[in-house]
Amino acid sequence: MNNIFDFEWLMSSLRLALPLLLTAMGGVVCERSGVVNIALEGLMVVGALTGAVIVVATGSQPLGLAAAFFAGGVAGSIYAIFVIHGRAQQVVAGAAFNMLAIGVAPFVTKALYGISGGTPALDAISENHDSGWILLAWVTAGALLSPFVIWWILERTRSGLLLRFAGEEPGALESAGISPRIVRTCAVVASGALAALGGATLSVLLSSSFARGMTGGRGFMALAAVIFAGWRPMTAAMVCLVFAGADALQIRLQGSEHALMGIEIPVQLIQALPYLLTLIAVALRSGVTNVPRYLGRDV
Amino acid sequence: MNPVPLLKSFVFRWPWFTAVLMGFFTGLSAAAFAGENPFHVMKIMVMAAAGTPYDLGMTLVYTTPLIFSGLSVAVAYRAGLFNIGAEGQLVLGGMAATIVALQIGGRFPEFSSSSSFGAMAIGMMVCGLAAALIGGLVGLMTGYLRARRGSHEVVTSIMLNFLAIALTSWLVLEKFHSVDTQNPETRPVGTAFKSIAFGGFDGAPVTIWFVSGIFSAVIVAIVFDQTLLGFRLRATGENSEAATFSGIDTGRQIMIAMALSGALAGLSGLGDVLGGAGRYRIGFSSDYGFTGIAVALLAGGRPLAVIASAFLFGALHKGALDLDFETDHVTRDLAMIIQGCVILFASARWFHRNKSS
Repeated sequence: MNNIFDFEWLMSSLRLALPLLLTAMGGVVCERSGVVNIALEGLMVVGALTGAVIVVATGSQPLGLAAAFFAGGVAGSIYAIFVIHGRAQQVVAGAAFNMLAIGVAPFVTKALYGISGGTPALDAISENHDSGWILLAWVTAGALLSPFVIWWILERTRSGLLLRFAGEEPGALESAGISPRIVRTCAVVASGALAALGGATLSVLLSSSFARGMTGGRGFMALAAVIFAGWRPMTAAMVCLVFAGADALQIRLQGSEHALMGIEIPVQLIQALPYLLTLIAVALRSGVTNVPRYLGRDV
Repeated sequence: MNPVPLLKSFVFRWPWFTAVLMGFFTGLSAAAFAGENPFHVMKIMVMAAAGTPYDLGMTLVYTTPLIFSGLSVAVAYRAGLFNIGAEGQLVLGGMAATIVALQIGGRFPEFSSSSSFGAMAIGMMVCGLAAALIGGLVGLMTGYLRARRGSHEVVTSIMLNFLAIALTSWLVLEKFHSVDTQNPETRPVGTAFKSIAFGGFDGAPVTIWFVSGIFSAVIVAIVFDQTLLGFRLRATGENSEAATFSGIDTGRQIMIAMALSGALAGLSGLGDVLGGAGRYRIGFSSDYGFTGIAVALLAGGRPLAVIASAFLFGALHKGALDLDFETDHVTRDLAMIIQGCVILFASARWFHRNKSS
């Protein structure tokens, strides 16, 4: 096991952090407005699918990402209709939304391509090899910058203030003549767009097709990162980077056999590493602070 | 007579029924959009779910785990918790039962291969206890983290799901792998541990666990409505602050609820593991744990309603299997769409008299 924490590991961590980071930012925006977002996983599926479908149709990766961003907004507004207008219990509706998204994906690929497993391979990457990497670099830079942008919006702008009020003290917002429900709806839509963009980076940039189960619980990991970070965007981003680092390590270690103090480490344990790390991280952080006061509560 | 108030009173009296209708309507509309005749799709699903005694039997086979996992989610839900970890608890429960059966089979081969009623009853008890114990412990862990460490049960139980799946696949592939097959499954358990199956379904393995599921629902209903424990759990779920002020240790109730929930989830897999297959197969659960969420929510957390709700989703699951080869444009995933829509409509409060949640 000679130095596995090298430059290549760092780059692969960065790439794997992309979907997590963007989705976590969506989670921060949504949860700070007081809406629990278990649906991040489903929103990622929506983005991954839309991105891949558009790239197959047009051959353009930027267009795929843009379409995913837009579709995520639409999906987010569907979720918002149920949780804000319909006053659904948020965790329940989120779990149901995930089922719906996971069911819709094979339904769409079956209708479009006649197969239920995923989309055909996107050959945009192999054709325009260089532009693909340039796009990846740009998106990575944008994703790394996003926590700062979200922080700035939340803490330094009027919209951010309204959003935080919707999560902390919706009554005050109402007295000021602003409907907390509208503010929350905007937050949920924005969150859907961000999470879907995160999902699209998986299918469009990190691999070359949409496949069933491709999100692999990343939406939940992003949510865990948000909660662990106490709903702070920059801390959440750092947690995401750590998760991605564990994921990159996991992929690297899989190929060969490893032993620790003479005991062979099973491959399943290595694969479970990111999840184990998340669990330990969440468990060690006793008494989550900074919870938005009206998180999960109706307004 | 004006039909609108009549319709309204119907909708508000049975909001869950409206949710089921809306869910099916949305799902079938999607099928129509994909180019299938929705009536044809519905007919295929009904025939596949209950067309022959075998089909009905298979529907009951799918209903069995859903009763347990639905009860599991319902118990947590009534105590104000969300057990998304039933999937992990059920694979661990199934694994524990298999390991116990295999170990006993190794030590006492003559007991294990006996097929007398007494041996089978003991086998069922031992396996059930092992499964409930392991599921309960995992649930307790989630409950402890929630009650004493403040970690959200949704996040911890999702992570535990992934860990449970990793652990079971390691156990199956490295420790208890069957020698005479390449399939990812363990050695078969002895006849004493195979669940008693009912005849009359043309070979569909409807086992004693189906009856146990109904029995468990009755017990859970009694515990919730008639006992002090049930009252404490409900008080914690409905108004945790008021419960604390009246002297209930809500943290303790959270741990009890999650342990109970985990134990019920642990039993979910036994109908498949000990009944149908007689061995643990990786991936035997077609998302029973997650479907349990849908089952419990449609039932509004009421234990007896869980039975009906489990049957509905069991039938939906079985019915949708035939869509893969009987239609050109839709697949079994239509069941997921319908299920998701049913729960979305059931969770929204448009059809409820009391609009606040």
